[in-house]
Amino acid sequence: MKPKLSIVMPAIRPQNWVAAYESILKSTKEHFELIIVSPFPLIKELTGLTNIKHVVDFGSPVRATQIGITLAEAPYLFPNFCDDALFLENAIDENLAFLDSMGSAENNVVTCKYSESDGFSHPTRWNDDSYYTLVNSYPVNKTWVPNDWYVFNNPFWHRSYFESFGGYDCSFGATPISHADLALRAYLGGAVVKLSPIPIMKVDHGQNDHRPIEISQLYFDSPAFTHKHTNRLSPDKIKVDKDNWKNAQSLWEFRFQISNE
Amino acid sequence: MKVQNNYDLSYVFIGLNPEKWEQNFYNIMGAVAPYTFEFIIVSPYFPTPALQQELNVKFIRDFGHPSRCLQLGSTISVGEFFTWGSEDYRAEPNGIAKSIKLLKKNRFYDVINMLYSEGPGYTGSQHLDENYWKPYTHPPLRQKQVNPEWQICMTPLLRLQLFREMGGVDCRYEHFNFNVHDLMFRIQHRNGRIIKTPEKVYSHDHVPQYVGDHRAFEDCQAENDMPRFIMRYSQPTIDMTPIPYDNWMFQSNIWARREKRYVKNEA
Repeated sequence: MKPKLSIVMPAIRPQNWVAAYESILKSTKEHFELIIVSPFPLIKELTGLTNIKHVVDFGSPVRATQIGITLAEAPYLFPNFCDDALFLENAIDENLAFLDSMGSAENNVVTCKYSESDGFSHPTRWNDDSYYTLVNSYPVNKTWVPNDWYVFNNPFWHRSYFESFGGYDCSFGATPISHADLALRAYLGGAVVKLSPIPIMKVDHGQNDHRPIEISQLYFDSPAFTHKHTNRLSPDKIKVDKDNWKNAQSLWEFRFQISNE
Repeated sequence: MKVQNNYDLSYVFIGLNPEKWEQNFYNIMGAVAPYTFEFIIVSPYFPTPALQQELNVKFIRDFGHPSRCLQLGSTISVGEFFTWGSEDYRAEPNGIAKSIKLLKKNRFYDVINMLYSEGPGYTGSQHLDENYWKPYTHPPLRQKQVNPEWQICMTPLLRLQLFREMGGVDCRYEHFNFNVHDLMFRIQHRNGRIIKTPEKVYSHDHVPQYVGDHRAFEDCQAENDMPRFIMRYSQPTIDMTPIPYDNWMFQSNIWARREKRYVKNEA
C-alpha cells in the first residue's frame, strides 16, 4: 500500500522514537511512511515496520531532512518532525482535511500551531496567531516581511509543490532558520498559506542536547539568513537545487566529534 | 576512512544477508583503492555494528524490489563515478580502480564494462568469449529495436551524472538484468560507447536455481521483466528518451514476491 503522507524525521534521540511513532498512529488513520534520518541505527522495536525508511547520515539537521525528503513518495508531505515532539491525537487527519478543504490546488499549504515546554509541562499552551508569524522572531523580522506570513515549523504540503522549491537550503544547519527561509521563498513563489486552527503537536523544549543547534543558529545561520533575506529575494533565488544537501558537510561538527584519521 | 563530502565512487550495494556485508565492503575497498568510495547499502536488513562505524557507509532501509533499491541508493550518492553490486560479487584487487582510470580517459556518455565471470563457487569463464557481450548471443535480446552493434554490460561503471541524466534504471523492471540492458541500450542510443576492461573485474557466485533467495528473481524475470523488455524492444518504434528519475516512486515499497518471507509486521 502506497502511503498518503510522508513524514520526515531528522533524529538523534532513539529513546524517543517509539513514542514518536505511536503518536503518529494515534494522529492518523491514513497510510503513512516515516523516514528517519539519523546517525543512529533503527531501534529494535521499529525494525519490523515496513512503513519506516531509515537512512544513516551524520550531517546537520537540515541536510538530514533534505535527504529524507528525496526519499519521500507520498502525495502529502510533513517535512520536519523532530524526535523531541509528539503528534496530538487525530491532529494529522484533521489538518490534512483542513488542507483538502482549501481546494485541490497544489500550492495550498497548511502550517500548524504547536506548544513548546520543558518536558511537555505545558502541552496545550497554544499561543495566539501572531506568535506564529515570521516577523515575531529574530532574525526573520525583516522590514519587508508582511505581518501575516507564518512560520513553517509544522507545515503540510503537497509534495510536488514542496519539491518545486527544491526543498530546504542546506547551507543552514539548524532547522528553524531553514524553515523560515523556505517559508519566505514559498510565500514569494505564490504559496497560499493558512494557519490551521488545529494544533498539531507538543514539543519538549527541555532537551539538554540543543547546544549545537543554538551555536549553529546564533553564529552561523542567523547571519547567513540576514545576509540572504535583508531584501526581498529575486525570483531566480526562490528555488534551490534539490541536491543541495550534497554541498553540506557530511559530518556536522557542531554535534559529532569524529576526527579524521 | 576520512570524513569527506565527495567521493570518487558511489557503490550501491543491494543485499539480504548482513553477515556477508563486511566481507563485501572490504573486498570493494581493495578493488577501489586508491580511489575513495562510499558504500551505500539498501536493504530490508541492517548493517552490522562494525559497518555502522564506517563513515563511508550509508544505509537506506527499504523493502522494495532490487531496481527500486538501486535507484533509491543513487538518490543519496555523491560520487563522481557510479556502480552497483550485490553479495555474490567478488571484485579483483584494484579492479574497479583500473576501471575508473579507464573511464576518466573517455567521454561523458561512455561506460566501462567491468568484465565478470559467473558460475557456482566463482567458477566460470564466459568473460573471455567476445560473443558473450553481443546482444544476439542472448535470445531475449534479439529484438527489432536492439541495434546489433550494441553491446551488453551487466556490471557497468559510469558517471553518476550520466546515470541521473538518463533517469537511471526503469524500475518497472524488478530485478537487475533487463533494467541494466535497457539502460545500456538507452546510453548507446545516445552514442555512448561500452568499453570493456582488458581483464576480469568481478567473479560472481552464480547458481541458477528456483529455491531460496533466487526464487523471487526467477519469477520476476519470467513473469514481468523479460516480457516487458520484449514488448518494448519488439515494437516498430521505440522511445529512447531519458526516463523520469523519480520513477522508483511508482513501485511498491514492498516487493510482493518477497513480502511473505521478509515482512513481519506491516503497519
